Amino acid sequence: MAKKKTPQYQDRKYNYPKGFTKYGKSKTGFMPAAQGARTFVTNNFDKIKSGAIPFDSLTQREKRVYRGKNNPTFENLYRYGDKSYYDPTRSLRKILDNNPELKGKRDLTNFLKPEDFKNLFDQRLNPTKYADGTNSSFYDFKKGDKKQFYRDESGTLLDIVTKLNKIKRSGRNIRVIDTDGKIYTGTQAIDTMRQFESDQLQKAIETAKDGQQIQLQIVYLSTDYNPFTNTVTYNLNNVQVNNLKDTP
Amino acid sequence: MRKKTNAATYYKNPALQESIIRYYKEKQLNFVVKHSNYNTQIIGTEATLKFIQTEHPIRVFVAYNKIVKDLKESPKTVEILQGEWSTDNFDSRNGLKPAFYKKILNLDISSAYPYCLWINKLITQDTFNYLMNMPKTERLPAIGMIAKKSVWITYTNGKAENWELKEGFYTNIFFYVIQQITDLMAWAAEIAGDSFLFYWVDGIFLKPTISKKKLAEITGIFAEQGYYFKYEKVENCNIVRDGDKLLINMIKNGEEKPYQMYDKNLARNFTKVLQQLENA
Repeated sequence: MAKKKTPQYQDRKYNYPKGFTKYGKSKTGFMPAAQGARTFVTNNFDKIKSGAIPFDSLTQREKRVYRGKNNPTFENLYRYGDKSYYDPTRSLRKILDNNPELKGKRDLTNFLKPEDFKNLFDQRLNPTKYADGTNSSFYDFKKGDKKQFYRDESGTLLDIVTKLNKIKRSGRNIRVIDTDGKIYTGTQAIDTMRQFESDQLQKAIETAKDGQQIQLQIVYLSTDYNPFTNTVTYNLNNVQVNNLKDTP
Repeated sequence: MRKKTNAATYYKNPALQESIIRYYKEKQLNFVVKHSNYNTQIIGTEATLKFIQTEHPIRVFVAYNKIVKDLKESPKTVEILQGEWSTDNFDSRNGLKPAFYKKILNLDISSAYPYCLWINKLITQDTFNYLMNMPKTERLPAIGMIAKKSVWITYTNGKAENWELKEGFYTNIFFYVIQQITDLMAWAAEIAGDSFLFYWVDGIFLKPTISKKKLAEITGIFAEQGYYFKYEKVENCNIVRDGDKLLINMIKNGEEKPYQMYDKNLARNFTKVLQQLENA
């Protein structure tokens, strides 16, 4: 019996035209496959999403690009200047998409003033309100007792470092940009993050009285996920530390 | 009726103006200081001192008087005077990125303001011809005079007692003309889409990659509306962002030309986002 052949996916390589010259004439030759797939998916994202272009008709590479772009993390990740920001509320995407001029935009550098963007992200969208195990840690214990993390209503432990260890085991790469700008990867990245949290926690413990409840929330406002390298980056220079016991 | 006083005219000299005002104040005199775009006058009981920025030839004032005469007779004047018109005469593409362009395309409307007055039947053919025979440097002040504005500060016994803002009766006509040209530029910008860079008064700046079809559509609209236009040679266009300001430098017809404008899109975008957030 003949061995069943695995279906071969034809790359769309030879269907990606290079585009047009500045005089409007078609360029000869073809775009490289990776660039072509990205261009094709970007230009037809809405059609693929609505099903007008069936997902099954995409090439392997295009499917991978589409999955990346359709990923909620990717979809709600914004750039401003050289930093990335994640909107856990997922509301900004809907708001921008309601405006034809801002539809699909993820790099908002030239669209909003720096102070307006900061206001929007830190105050209006209030990511700390939606802080979860993927972007924050929440320490909740009495001074003198063993340190403990808070568990939310669904039972999720709000401890990003534990979460990152799990994420790392699942194959995702971790990068951490330290406060001095140094970049760490893998286990070193997680250790750097743990050290950072320990320092913040130590400060909170020192200021608290014996037996006082310590509620320290550390929210990583700037995260960057690169679907192509499957790497998530946390920037320790853009972190919101909330000592909730100090908050009126 | 004001008593006729001795008059003297000087070129603008802020230091001299200030020292005369200080002297009048110390002597506790009664006088009026009139500031306008074109001159500053110190009107005393004995003499009127006039400080001018540029001396316009008599034909500028003749042209201005001809425009005013036509405006008085034009059936459209009353309607326009009652309207509200914007004086915003520049804009840029939403999200314009800082960049350097070796060459860009600039479409300028020729003699935009005189044509606008004429097309809208606000001036007669005779006044239009008179304006068109003047050099550009004189034509603009002649039309701009219809929006004259001055602040009058009255000093009694050396103390400033009262101030008054006086505007030309036909100021709104000038604003109407500005809006007409701006609307035309905005229309062209919309057609140009991603090829649009920015517009400034009566000139629109486009990427050289703009399609021939879009360009034909834009020039078609200019012609349809009754305006003439010309292509200007623009090279080495450098666009830089400084906060909410856009600093643009270019070589236009061999001369360096800087532009500085607020990016109005930033505030517009933020307002839209906030409105949607509130409605959500």
